[in-house]
Amino acid sequence: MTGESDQSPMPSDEELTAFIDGELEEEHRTRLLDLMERDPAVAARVEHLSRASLPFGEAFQPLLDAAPTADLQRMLDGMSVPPVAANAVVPLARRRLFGAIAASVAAGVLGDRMLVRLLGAGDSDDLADDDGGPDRERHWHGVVAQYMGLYTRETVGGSTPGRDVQAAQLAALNRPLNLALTPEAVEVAGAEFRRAQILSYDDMPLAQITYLDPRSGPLALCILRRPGTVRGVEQDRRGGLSIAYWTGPDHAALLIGRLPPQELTAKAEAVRGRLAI
Amino acid sequence: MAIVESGCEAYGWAGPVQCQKERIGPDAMRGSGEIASEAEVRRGLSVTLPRLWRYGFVLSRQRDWADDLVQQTCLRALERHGQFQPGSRIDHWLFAILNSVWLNEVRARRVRFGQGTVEAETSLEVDGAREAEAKVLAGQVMRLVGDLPEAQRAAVFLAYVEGLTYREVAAVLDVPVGTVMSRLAAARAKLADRMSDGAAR
Repeated sequence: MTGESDQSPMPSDEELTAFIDGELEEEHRTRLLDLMERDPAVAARVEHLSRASLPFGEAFQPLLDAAPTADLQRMLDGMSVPPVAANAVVPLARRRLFGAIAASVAAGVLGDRMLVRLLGAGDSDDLADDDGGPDRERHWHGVVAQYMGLYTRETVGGSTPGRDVQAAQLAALNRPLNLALTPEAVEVAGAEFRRAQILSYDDMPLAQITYLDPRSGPLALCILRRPGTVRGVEQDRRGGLSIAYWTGPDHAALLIGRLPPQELTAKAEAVRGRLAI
Repeated sequence: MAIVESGCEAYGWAGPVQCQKERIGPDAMRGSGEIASEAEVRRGLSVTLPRLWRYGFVLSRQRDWADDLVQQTCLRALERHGQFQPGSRIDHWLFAILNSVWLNEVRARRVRFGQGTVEAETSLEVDGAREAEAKVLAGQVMRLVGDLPEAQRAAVFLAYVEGLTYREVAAVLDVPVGTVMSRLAAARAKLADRMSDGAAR
């Protein structure tokens, strides 16, 4: 090293950043201050990096206000979790987790894809009615109803995306579900399209298309890729929600909402006529 | 390179942190008993919910992912309440849990299925933030941070928004302090360049 006094190597950005952030020990800090006095290049680099000292706290304050705090608090209040020992047997822990999630969701918040994933990911003995019979075929109704029960008008607030956006969202569902959904086919009379997304249920892809019915609130069309017997529209009721469901050779579909069953069934019949599943 | 030890006074350092008013004082956040009770963890969660959600949103850039992250964080924290060390910062412990849920589960799942991105990722912009002139800068700052790579974004958020010391950031992210320093330095250089570009136009 030569001429340490006036030709010190430029300190690293890490060092200068720690200096700016007040993270250096006093001795190191003093040394850098001296260096900045002697070497304009060092001072200039510190000045440059200091431009990134932005009002971060203020800038991110609105996100605190945007947090759905009341919903999260309700979720937390409804959550009852027995502590899991580090070496707990996996199925048991999973069952507990399942119970906790179900409890928290029943108490009222969010978690659509998470809920569906967890319910779906559980061992089969975690699933009630899983006996391979008709109850099993309708088990997903209860799961869908559980999370749809959490939807409010706010959940499906916002505006209707343009047809191109709708088509793009649907296109993302088509491949995993082996479908050919179009904005026209999934139209629900009187309701406004909100979004289409893919969830999973019991490791099967589940398409969820949400709508806002100005009169009754949130509405969803759900399609599960699952082979079965072709059947026409039938009615079911879960958790205070009406369900109109039908099946094709490779898919099961349902429309769910807070509409009177007859009205929902009529809408489902119309969708079924346009939708090839 | 020696950096200051984290301690009580570390919370008083005069870095570029402007969020002191929203931070909950160390006393309120410290556990009081010898063994952490579920009630204590519950209380800690309760007062930290908005900040957890915000961190979840900064990581995932999506509201519903942030919802998921907070929910899973609550579950984990309650399940493992016995692992919380009374007297330490419960908010930092919760940030660490949220971070690990993000890395191990939520993000992994999104990457695997590419399903969370059916909708284009929303930018770090709050509804209506653009409307008020006073919020323009806030929007710009959030966008600048939002454009950083994820690892840098998390470090910047924890250090500069939440006001954690380098050591605390390292603990939350479960990486060496040196890694935190290089992420912050890289982020600072990038942000400074962007600011200079903006000034030059």
